[in-house]
Amino acid sequence: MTSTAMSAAPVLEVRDLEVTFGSGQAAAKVLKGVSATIERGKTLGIVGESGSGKSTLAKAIVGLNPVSSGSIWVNGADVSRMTSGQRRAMRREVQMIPQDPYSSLNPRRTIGQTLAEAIDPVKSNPRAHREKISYWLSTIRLDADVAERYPHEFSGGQRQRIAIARALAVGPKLIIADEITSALDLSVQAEILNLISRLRTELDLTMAFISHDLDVVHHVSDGIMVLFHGEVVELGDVDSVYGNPKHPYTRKLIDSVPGGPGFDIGERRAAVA
Amino acid sequence: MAETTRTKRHFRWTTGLIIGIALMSVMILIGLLAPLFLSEAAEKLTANASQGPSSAHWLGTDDFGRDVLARSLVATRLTLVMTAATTAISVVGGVLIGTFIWLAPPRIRNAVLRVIDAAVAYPSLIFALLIAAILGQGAWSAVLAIAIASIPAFARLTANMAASISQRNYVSTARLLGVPGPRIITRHLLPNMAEPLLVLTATVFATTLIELSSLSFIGLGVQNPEYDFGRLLNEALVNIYSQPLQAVMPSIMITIAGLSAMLIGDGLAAATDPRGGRKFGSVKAASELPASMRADREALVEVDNLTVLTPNGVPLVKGVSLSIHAGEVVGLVGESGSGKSLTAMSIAGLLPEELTVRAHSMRLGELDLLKKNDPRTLATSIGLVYQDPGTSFNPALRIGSQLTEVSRIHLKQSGKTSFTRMVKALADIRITQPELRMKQHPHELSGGMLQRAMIASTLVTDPRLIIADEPTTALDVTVQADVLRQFRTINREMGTAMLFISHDIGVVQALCDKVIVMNGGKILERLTGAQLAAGDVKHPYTKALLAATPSIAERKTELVAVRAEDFTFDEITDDALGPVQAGTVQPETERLQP
Repeated sequence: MTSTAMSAAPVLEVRDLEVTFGSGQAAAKVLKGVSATIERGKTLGIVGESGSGKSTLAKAIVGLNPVSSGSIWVNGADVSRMTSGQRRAMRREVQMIPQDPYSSLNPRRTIGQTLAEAIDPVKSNPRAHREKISYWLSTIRLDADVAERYPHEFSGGQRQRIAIARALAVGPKLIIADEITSALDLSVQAEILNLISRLRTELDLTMAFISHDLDVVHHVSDGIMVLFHGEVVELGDVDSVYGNPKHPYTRKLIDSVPGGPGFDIGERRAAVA
Repeated sequence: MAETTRTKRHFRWTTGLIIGIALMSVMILIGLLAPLFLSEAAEKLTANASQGPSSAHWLGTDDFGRDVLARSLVATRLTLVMTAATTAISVVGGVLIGTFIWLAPPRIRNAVLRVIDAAVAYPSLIFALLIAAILGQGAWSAVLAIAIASIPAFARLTANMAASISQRNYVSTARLLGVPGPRIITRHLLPNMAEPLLVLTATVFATTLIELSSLSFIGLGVQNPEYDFGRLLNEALVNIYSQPLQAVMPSIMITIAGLSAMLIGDGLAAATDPRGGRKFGSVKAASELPASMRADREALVEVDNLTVLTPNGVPLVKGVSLSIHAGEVVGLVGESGSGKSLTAMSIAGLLPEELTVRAHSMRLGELDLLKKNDPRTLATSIGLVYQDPGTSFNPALRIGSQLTEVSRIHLKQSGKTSFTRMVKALADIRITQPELRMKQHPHELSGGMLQRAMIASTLVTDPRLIIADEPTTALDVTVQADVLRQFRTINREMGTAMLFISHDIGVVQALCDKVIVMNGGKILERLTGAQLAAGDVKHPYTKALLAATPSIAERKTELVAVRAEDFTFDEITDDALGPVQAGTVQPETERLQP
C-alpha cells in the first residue's frame, strides 16, 4: 500500500517463535517457528481457525505465555529474554484489547476510574486525570460526562470503544486486538471497524489484528498472516494474499467464506423462484 | 439494543429477608436496652432462690434468686457483641489471607492452600476447643478461638473466588496496564466478591453464635460473673430437673438470633441472584380474531400474525407472518433483539414459559402449534439444531445414547434398531467411523463433527421441518462451509423444509431460497437468496446491513454504521415503497486511508 521511509527498527519482530505447553510426552507445540514483523503505523491481520495458535501468539507477545525458543523484539528490545523487572517496565509498551466487552470492564468501577487506571496505574484518581479522560473519550466519540457512569449502562459497542480507549490511553507502541468484533452485532461491528480505521490514520497506530473472520481482517489490515496448526502458511500484503493465495489452505479458507466469490454450496444453485 | 443495555438490578425484598431483619433488629434492641433496665433484676442476689414462674418473675428465679427472664435478656448484649467480634475477625482475617494467597507466587500459594485445606477438613469446633484450651478460659479467648478456627473456611472461599475473578479480562488487563497487585485486589477483586462474602458473613454469624454458646456451655467461654446464652445454659443444666424453665429462654434466644442471621443470609443470597424472581405469565393464548387473508394455505408451515409478549406486556415479536413450503429453505436474518430466535422458538413450542405467545394461526401441516401438542408428535415433526454443539451435548453421556434419544423414547424403537439407523445417518453425512463415534464422549469429537452429528440425529425421525438456530456461528469458517453444504444436500435429497436463523448475511444468502429480514420484532423485507446475493434489496435497513458488512470481495472504503433503532417503519412489499423515507441511514464520516 503506502511506503513510508523506515528508519527505526520495526515495532514488532517475532523470530522463529516456538511455544510449547507441557513437557515430556504430553508436550504440545502450539507455535512452530513463527516469524513476522510489523512496521510502525501498519496493521498486520492474523487469521486462522481455532487451534491455529493465533491467541497463543498474542499472549506470547504481551508476555502471558512463556516462549520456548525464538525471540520477540518490541522496538528493538528482545522482550523474551528480559528479567521480570525489565519486563514489568516494558509491560505498558504492548497493550491488548480483549475480545469480550462484557467481561473486560470491571462492573464496579466507573468509566472514568477505568480510564484513569490506564493513564496512571498507581494514582488512579479520575479527578486528577480529568482532561486526559475526556480527551480519550472524545477520541472514541463519547461525551466527557460518561466518565461518571458504570459499564452496565453501555451497549456492547460502546463498551468495546471504551476498552479501545483504555488501551490507547496507556500510549503503547503496539496494540493487539484479539477478536475484538466477534462478540458484536453486525452494525456494531461496523462502528468499531470504522473507529479502528479512523484511529489507524489519526494516531498512526501499529496493530496486530487477530480474527477468525476473513472479511473483517481484509477490511482493516495492511498485511496478513495466515496461521495453520501453529505454522505461518502465508504472509504478505492483504491484496496479494486475498487476490492470489499461494498456499492451498489459504485458498480453502477464502473459498469457505459464505457469500464470498469462491464459495460453493455444493451445487451452483439453479435459480429458485 | 434492549438486550445489550442491561437495566440496573433491583434489590428484591423477600419475606424471609424481612422477617430476618425484623428479628435481628429486635435482638439488637434487646441487647441495647435490657442491660440498662434489667441489670439489677438479673444480677442482684435475692433470697427468692429457685422459685417457679410468678407474676414477679415470669420464668422464675435461679439458685441465687436472680430473675431468669431478665438474665436471658441482658445476656443478649454480650452474646451479640462476642458473635459480631468473632465474625468480624474471621471475615477480615479470611479475606486478607485469601486474597494474599492469590498474590503469592504459585509455589507458596499451593503450599498455603494445602494447609488451609487440611485446616478446613478438621472440625472447626474441636479446633476452637484446642485453641481455647491453650489461650485459657474467658470470653475473649473464646472469641479468638472461634475466630481463628473459622478463618480457614473463609480464606479458602475468598481464594477460590479471587482465582475465578482473576480469570476475568478486566483483571488481566489491569496487569497489562501495570497496576500493582494490592491495588488489583482493592479495585478489582474485592468489590466483585462483595455480594457472596456478605451472604457468607451472615451465615458465619449464625454458626459462630452456636459455637460460642457451645464453648460457654462447656465452661471454656464466658466465666462468672459475666454471662452469655451459653453460660446461662450451663447454669441451667444443673437444675434441669428442678428448674427446667431456666434452660428454655436462652435456648429460644439462641434459636431466634441464629434463625434471623440465617434468614438474612438466605435473603441476601436470593436478592443478589439475578436469575431469581421470575414471574410466570400465561402460556399460549390464541387470539380470537379471524384468520387474516395473508395466510398461505398451501404452505407446510404457516404463521399468521405471531406476537410474543413479556410478562409485563412488552411485545418482543410484533405480528410476524411467514410461510414455509415443503422443500424450502427459509432464512431469518437480523441482529440480536430482532426477534428472529423468538419467532423460530415459538414455532418449535420452546419459548420460556413466562412469555406469552399469540397468533391468528400457527400450524405445521395439520398440526395446530397454538394448542398443547403431544410431545412425541412435536419431537418427531420438528428437528432442532442449536448454536453451540459444545453445550447442547451432555459431556457425561456417550454420543450414541444422546443421538438416539428421540428415536428410542418417541418412536419407541429398540436400542439396537435406533443404533443401526443412527450409524447409517452418520455415515450418510460422511462422518468417519460412525460406530466408533457413537461410543465416544462429546469431548472426543471436534465441534464440526458434533454439529454434523446433531444434524444427523434430527434426520432419523424424518422431520417435516428442521429449525436451525445459528447452527454455524460457533464453527470455524472451513467447517462452517462443510456444514452449510450438508444442510443444502439434505434439503435437496430429502426435501426437508428448513427454517434457518442467522445474523450472518453471507451464510443466509448462500444457503437459503427465501430470506426474511427482521428488526425490532418485525419483518422488514422478504427476498430470495439470489436477490440478496445480487444486492437487489429495497428496504433501507437491509441496504444498511449490506453496507455495514465488510467483504473479501471488495474493500469498502467505509462501512455504514447502522443503528437498528433508526429503522422503525414497516415491511416493504414489492409494490409499495410509499411510507419509507430515504436518508435515515447515517453514515459516519470516518474513512480509510485514501
